[in-house]
Amino acid sequence: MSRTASFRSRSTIDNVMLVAVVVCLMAGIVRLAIVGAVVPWTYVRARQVHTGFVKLLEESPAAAWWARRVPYREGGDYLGVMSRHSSVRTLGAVLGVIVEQERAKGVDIRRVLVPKDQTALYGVPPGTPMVRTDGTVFRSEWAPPRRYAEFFTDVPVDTVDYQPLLNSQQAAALAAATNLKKRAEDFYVGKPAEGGSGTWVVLARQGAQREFLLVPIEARPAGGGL
Amino acid sequence: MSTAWSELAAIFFFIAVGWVALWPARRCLGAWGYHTAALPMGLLSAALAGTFSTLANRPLDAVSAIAGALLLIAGVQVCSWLAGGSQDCEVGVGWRSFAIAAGAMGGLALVVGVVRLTVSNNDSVMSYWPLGVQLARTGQFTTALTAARSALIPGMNAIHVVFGSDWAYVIYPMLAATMVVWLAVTLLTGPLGASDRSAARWIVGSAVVALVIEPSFIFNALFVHSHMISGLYLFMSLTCLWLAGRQDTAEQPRGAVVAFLVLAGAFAAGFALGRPDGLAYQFVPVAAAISLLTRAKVDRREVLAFFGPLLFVELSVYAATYAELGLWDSGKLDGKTTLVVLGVLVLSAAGPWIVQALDRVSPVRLAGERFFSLLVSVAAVLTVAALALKWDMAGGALDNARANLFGGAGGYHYLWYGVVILLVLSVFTGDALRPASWTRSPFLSILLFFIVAALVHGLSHEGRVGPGDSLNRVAFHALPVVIWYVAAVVARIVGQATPMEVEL
Repeated sequence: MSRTASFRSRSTIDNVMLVAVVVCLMAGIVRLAIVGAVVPWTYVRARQVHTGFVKLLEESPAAAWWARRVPYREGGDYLGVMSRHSSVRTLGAVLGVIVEQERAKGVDIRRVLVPKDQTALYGVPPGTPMVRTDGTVFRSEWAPPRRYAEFFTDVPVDTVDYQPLLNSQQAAALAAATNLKKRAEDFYVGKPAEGGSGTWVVLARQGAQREFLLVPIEARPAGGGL
Repeated sequence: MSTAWSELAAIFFFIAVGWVALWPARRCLGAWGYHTAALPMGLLSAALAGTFSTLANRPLDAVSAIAGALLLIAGVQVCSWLAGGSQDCEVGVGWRSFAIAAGAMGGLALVVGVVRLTVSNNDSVMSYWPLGVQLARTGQFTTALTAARSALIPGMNAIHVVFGSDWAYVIYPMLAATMVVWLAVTLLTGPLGASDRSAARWIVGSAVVALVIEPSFIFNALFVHSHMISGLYLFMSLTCLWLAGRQDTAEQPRGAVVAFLVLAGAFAAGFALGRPDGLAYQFVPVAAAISLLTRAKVDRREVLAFFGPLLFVELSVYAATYAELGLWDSGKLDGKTTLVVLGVLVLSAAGPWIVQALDRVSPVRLAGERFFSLLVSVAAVLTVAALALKWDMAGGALDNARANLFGGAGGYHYLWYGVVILLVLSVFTGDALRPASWTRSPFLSILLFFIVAALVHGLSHEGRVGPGDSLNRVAFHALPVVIWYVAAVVARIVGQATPMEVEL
């Protein structure tokens, strides 16, 4: 076993290396302490200015990595996780999950309906170039509901020709006319940075041939509920 | 079955598979090494379960999961046996250690499962998990799965589905804990093995603290994505190679060398299958392995010990993929590109003999440690040339990387400034390229990792400014290697003796 060498017996460059390592480690610990101070301070500040705690934390340079997408406790519920993501890409997946959950309960589901005109799903016509906040461009057609539903279910997703952009009263009327029962809601379509926003409702027809229908309601900024 | 219990059951399945696969090597790895390596080893069975279900044309159900486990166990044990087995190892792994390991891992998993901490982004929600669900349901590798995510993580998610989970997240903190324990264990048994105990404790404690207070580590410990898995496999593969090639003891049991080489090869396969770009990055451990294997006269059994598990796992997965998809087309990773990379990988298995033959006819030494430094030098020059030829894209990628890693946009604060300063200082201390040391191969591995990163990201896409940028996230994979390297340098300085001087 070797003995630990003294500071004076080492070369200068070795001592510089040791000092640099200690400084880097200390910087990390100080950073942790700063975050420890920033978090409660941000909480108080958020209460004062009536702004979201997480939003403020995300904007704090000291807490960047920690604050970015602060962990939330929806781990056991996939639908819950997706509802927080507010992405157009969640539409088909949510449908697929719901269909499989219902089938597991013994419900016979033959098909899922989504509107042929997906303007309302995406907030803009499919294929429209859209610009994110960081300046990058994407097209709105990159995540069709059918494809993402297919990750979860083999129940076919059919497109139907109807005008899906409804206000809540029209949606209620449609539900009554088609004997569809509201099954789930509060899944927001699109994030502000990705355009198309709004809230959609999944309706289910009761009976032998069970169907689901997506009804996007009133494009509105993401984050608002029904 | 509730989700938390499903998560625990899936994780226990992986650990149990790892325990069985590594059973013959337990005496060579020791209790800490054996139990810590069990989860990442067992996790590889997920990729083979997908291989089986694809070839057998059946869902990835319990039968496929068990078949994947049996394939892994057979593959690892046969490679280990053909390479000479676990001879001369005397370290006992008592039954009590199983109870302690199961209790510690189970306790951690239970806490995470009950608290339900998870972090996700669109990739997690709309790709990794759904692809796993689809794989469980259909059992078939698809183009989307292969090109966008590779087989391992969707396979892992599919096995979680088999156990009844509807969101696999507990395993990520478990893998993060594995990384922390492995960092401590390999430092204590490696570069700090001959150090003063008090100094060793301080150095290991500091290394562990440096890792766990790093925000990107905390984030990726909860992030349902590929980074914790890829970072862990890269780190474990490399550390196993360094432990296999240790020169500070007069004679390391042959069984220990074989055991570490088998682990290194298997974990290199996990690294390659963790993400599509893992196919390129896998050449970091492969290069380190060739360097190690050509240090003395090439031993066929040692080559088999490393390349056997690597080729078995990786080629099995891609054989099933080609059988299912043919030469698939994709904007990300297509079948032709994959075939070329796999060809180079297979050729690499003959690399030790090729390097040895070249070494014999060359007036300068090419084999051993010299191979690694020559390879890194040549790769650096070629990469600079390739980036210069495609500067329109590479220039933008470089700007984005600079803004993310050094400009604060990527969320690392001053981390990479510290890393660069420490790496440069280590060149001046002489540790970076010190022959027969614990530090030379780690230093070259870090350089080669970033050379590959420059090629992959500089030539394929510009990336973007922000924490979500691909290169910005991938940089995390090198972090535990950097911390291990710096700790090894400090160990040399504090001990004031190179490992060669300690015992020989």
